[in-house]
Amino acid sequence: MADTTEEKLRGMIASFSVRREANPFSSLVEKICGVTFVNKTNDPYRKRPKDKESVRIALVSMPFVSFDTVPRSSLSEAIACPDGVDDVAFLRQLVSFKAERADRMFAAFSEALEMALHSTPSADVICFNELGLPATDMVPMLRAKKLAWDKSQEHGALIIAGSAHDSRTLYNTGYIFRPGGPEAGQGFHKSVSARSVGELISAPAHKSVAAVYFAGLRIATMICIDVADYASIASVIKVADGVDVLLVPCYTTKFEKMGAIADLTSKALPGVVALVNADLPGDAKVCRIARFGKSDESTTKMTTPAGAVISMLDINLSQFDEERTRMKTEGAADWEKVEYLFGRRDMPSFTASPKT
Amino acid sequence: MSATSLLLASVADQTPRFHQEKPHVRSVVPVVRYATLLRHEPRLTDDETHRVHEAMHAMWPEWKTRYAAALAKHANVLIGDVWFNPEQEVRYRLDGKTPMIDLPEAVIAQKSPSGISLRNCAALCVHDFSSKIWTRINPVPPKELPVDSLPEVLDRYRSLANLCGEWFHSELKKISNDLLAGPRAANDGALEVTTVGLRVDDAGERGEDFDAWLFDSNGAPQIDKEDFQKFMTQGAVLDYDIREVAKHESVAFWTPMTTAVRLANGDLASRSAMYLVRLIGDDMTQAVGIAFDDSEAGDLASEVALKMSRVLANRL
Repeated sequence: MADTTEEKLRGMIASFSVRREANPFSSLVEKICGVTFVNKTNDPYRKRPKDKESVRIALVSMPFVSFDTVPRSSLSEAIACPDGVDDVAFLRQLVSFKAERADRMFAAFSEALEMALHSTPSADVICFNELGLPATDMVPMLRAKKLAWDKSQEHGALIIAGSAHDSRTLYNTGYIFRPGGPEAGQGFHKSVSARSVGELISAPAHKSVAAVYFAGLRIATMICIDVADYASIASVIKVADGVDVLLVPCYTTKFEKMGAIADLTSKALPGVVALVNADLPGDAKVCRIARFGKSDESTTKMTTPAGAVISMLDINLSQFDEERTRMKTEGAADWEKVEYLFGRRDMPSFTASPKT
Repeated sequence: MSATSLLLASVADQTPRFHQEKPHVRSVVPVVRYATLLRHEPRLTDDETHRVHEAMHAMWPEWKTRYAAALAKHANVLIGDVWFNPEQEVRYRLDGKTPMIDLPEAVIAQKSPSGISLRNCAALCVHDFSSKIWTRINPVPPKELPVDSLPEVLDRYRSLANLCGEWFHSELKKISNDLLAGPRAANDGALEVTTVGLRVDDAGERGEDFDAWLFDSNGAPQIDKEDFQKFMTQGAVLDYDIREVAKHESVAFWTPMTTAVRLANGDLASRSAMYLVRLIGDDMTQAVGIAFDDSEAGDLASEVALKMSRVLANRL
């Protein structure tokens, strides 16, 4: 190691002057998508609770329930398809759970909430899978939303109640319920249709990723294949100093393919990325956890009587801060890949003094 | 004119304004972080760092009165004007790989316009780098200071950081039973990271263009911009034209450093500071940065300063 301060500074210049190319798309993502907090800076639940070492996140995988795919049009019924425009452009296809399954879905949802909130230790955050919010006639079930809000108030828990296709908006909308938050929840929307499985949804013109500051963690959430959308994920990495955890409700049989994305994203943050899938027939896993670039297993797993699988993810806050700081100040192996994908964010880049 | 044309005309009117109008600096938020560097030979062990913490933690209930008196004396206020955050304690944690002992935050003369938040901490390095005795000073959040006061405020903060850091270091040596003193610990210079947040009004989308007022697309400093020259010259207390850094400094470099801040509308936004890092004398590293700050809480300087401090400290 260099001995004098001058030698150390010259060493820094040498290491910081290694410029790595960043892909040109990375510089403009903020103009396409952004991250927005749903709670205020004076929210008392944003702080790390005193004497609490870990935050427990329950990833709830709802049991498979058969459904129909229902076509809709985004064009108002009173308006004819404009000449020259293919009406496929207005076609939407939404998931409709059978009415007779509604009670079963609600029971599974309710049981999962109870089990997660009464586990030891109890869950601080609960995240349901995509389409995990019970719905009837393609509208999120009011009693499920009410229950989620009640539980969030009663237990001081953050509940990301999965999402549901909504025939009123043609969106795939997830809801965040938090202590002190609005009773109706705070909606966030999927922005990319999973066309390969027949999903065709509308999306808001203003593309945004929702985030909530809770229990000392800055938690962002996006739905399923949105995590594979470059602009969406790069917009999160762009502000990674303000995001610790990314929770992704999913509903896909091709779940494994998203694992590499979770690993890479958790390295780029650096932080934790958790994908929570429905418990689907076949061999798709129910969840995928990535910490600081490496895949990890849930702490414990339990199954409710109605068949929901709950995977617990425990985050020791001190260890989390320690590892995050270490990676941000030292970098990590293969960091070049991250810098190429998203640009250099944590290290200085040396610039010589301009000559006059 | 159709509605669409009106909309487009409106956009066309506004677009050039976003790019030409320089950000209006309404106030400043300076943050000074100063560290005395110590090299231990042989290196400190994890066990020793825990012993220092245990000693510090045990002494705190009584020692804090001495600490308050020292802070009051150096800040030239009454001891009653020094307040310690009761929710905080003497804390041991790992900052990356480095054991840190954090004292509770001290708020001095909170109600005065010159009130400050101060925190001392000791980064006790168990690896091949120096230990650092840190003092951080900034206005009590969310206080902002008049633009014209910057040179005087920085002078005061630097002087106070130096005095309080020295005092804390001398106390730490006693408290740790000379673990951090004696022939094993050698002076290894100093590190100062000064960052000035230039508070600008909420400018919406214009915030995305703030970086361009600090550095160009290659990361080179905008040394011909008036505000850049003014605030960087004041921050670094340069007695020469800032465009002649290369001529006057033996070792110096410019670098942007980026972080994320929360805006008033809840959006998380990427914002940068531009730093001049240079060698002062034989053994002091100084980093001085400025940043246009449109964050909700005025915490850009504080956030980016911490990040810059960590990166530099990890290499000294």
